[in-house]
Amino acid sequence: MVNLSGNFALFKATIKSQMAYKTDYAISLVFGIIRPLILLAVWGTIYIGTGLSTIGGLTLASTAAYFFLAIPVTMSTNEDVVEIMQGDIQQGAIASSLVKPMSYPLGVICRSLGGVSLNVVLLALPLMLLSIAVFHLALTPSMVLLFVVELIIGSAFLHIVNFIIATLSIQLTNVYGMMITMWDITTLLSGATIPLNFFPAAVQHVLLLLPFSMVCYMPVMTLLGMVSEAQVLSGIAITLAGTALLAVAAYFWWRHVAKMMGSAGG
Amino acid sequence: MDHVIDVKNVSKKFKAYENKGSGLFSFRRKSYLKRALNGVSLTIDKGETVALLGKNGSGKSTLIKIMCGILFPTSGSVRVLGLDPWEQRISLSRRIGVVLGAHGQLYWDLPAIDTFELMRKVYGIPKSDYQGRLDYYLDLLELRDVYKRQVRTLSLGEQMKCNFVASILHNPELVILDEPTIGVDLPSKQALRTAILESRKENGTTFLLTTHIVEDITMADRILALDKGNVIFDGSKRKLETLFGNKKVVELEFSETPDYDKYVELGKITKVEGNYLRMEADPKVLTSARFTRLLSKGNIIDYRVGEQDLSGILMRLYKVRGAKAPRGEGHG
Repeated sequence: MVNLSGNFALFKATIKSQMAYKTDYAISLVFGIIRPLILLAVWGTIYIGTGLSTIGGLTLASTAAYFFLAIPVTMSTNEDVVEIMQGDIQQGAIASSLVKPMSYPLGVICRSLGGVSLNVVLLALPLMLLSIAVFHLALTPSMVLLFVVELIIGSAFLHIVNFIIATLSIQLTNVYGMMITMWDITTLLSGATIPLNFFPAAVQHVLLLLPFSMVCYMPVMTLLGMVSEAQVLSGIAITLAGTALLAVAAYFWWRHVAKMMGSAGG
Repeated sequence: MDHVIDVKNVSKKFKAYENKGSGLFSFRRKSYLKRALNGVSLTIDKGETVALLGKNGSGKSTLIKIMCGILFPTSGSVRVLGLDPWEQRISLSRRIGVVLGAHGQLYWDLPAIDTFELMRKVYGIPKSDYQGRLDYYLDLLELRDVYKRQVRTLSLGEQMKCNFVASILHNPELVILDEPTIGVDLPSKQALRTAILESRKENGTTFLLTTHIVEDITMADRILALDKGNVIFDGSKRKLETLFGNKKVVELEFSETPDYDKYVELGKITKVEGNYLRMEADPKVLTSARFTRLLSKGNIIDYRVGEQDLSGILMRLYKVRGAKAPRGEGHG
């Protein structure tokens, strides 16, 4: 049986623990504004340099709105699973987690969600509200509802994918390189640095069939009102199916790989 | 009667690495198969306090981790409180308390009270029981001035005491302590021992502890010693002393510097300082009659005869039995 109260307590303890680093959040908030400005400078130069008024159906103004929303959306769907689990294995702390009456994988996900929730409240939400106000986005309740569902599913997908990568640290100890590579792939395929509209039509079509689009592109386009409900629902179905398949694979993989632990910290 | 812990022929092998050199560019490393445990069998009954001893790398922590369901044994079977630790880890965790000396469970950035509260939720401890137990341990281990301070600001000993409290709040049937007194000051060591003895008396708790501290060993009913992944001793402290502590420690003080060579035939001289001599003697060689004759020689002004201390006995145990234990690792 899932230890709900224990996992919720773990979630809350992580939030409380991370609140010890308030300065880091203040710095991240500033960075959250600077990053879209950098991306906008790059793409603004391309718009002006090529003389195009739209690229992939997006005007410069829509592109600006896209980047200002992409940053908080990415913050909301992001996760710390690899860092948490790799840290546990490197420092031997996994042993202390495994003596508690809780599922370790679920505990890792709850700890990650604790960090994500804090990011959402302290960073993503203020940046999102600011962007909505600056770009005069007209949101309807159904758009907001779909947006929230997309964020949850996108985050679930990333958590499962990265959990599988994190388990490799049992054998390899350090999977930092893999984590960075996965982050780069996610950033590219999710549309966090390049809106998927900017890719050639065939590539765009393939990318929309992958669950990664739910991590950034779909939620942002939903807020911008530039995707149909049918597209969103199809994206949700694809991501849900992919996440469910990966979750089953992750379950069996964890049962297999956990047996390989050699010393769990000496 | 069912044993609290029943380990049958357990082995654990895993791949480990060692660097070929120590220079800056010595990236090449050799893999080898580390045999941490080599067919270990043992049982522990309810209410027993057992000291698990062994040199560094003897397999103590690996054995403990297998008993807790953290590690999967390569072969053999383990039952703890009637459960399979690997298959039923979560059910077992509710009934045991574990302190892994080197790896605390306290939140580094929060005060210890937050970890205690977390444990209350994780183990579903009723609030009234929790408060009573917490108050008891805070007073016993003198943690009143400590438990509300951020853990990163606490000394190692204070952290260890808080870890102990976090692990025992749910009143477990079996407590496994892996070097629980590392870095703990003398009064706190004594307080931890008192906590263990009282818990055993009040609740019939079973304790298994690994330690290198001789005083911790004295509170154990039984001693289990491992070397190179093999059990090299299983028995009471008395049995250990009988088998490996069969020497008397004799200290003599002379009125003037004697000819120490005359004493070599009586035993092994371990210390000579001015007019003082200490030696370890076999009672069969240094009989009471011979000792009386020795004292009557006139120039001895003071003497003391005592038992060999436990550290010496353990050293002998490791030396004698450890040498016979099969080697626990093979390069490959």
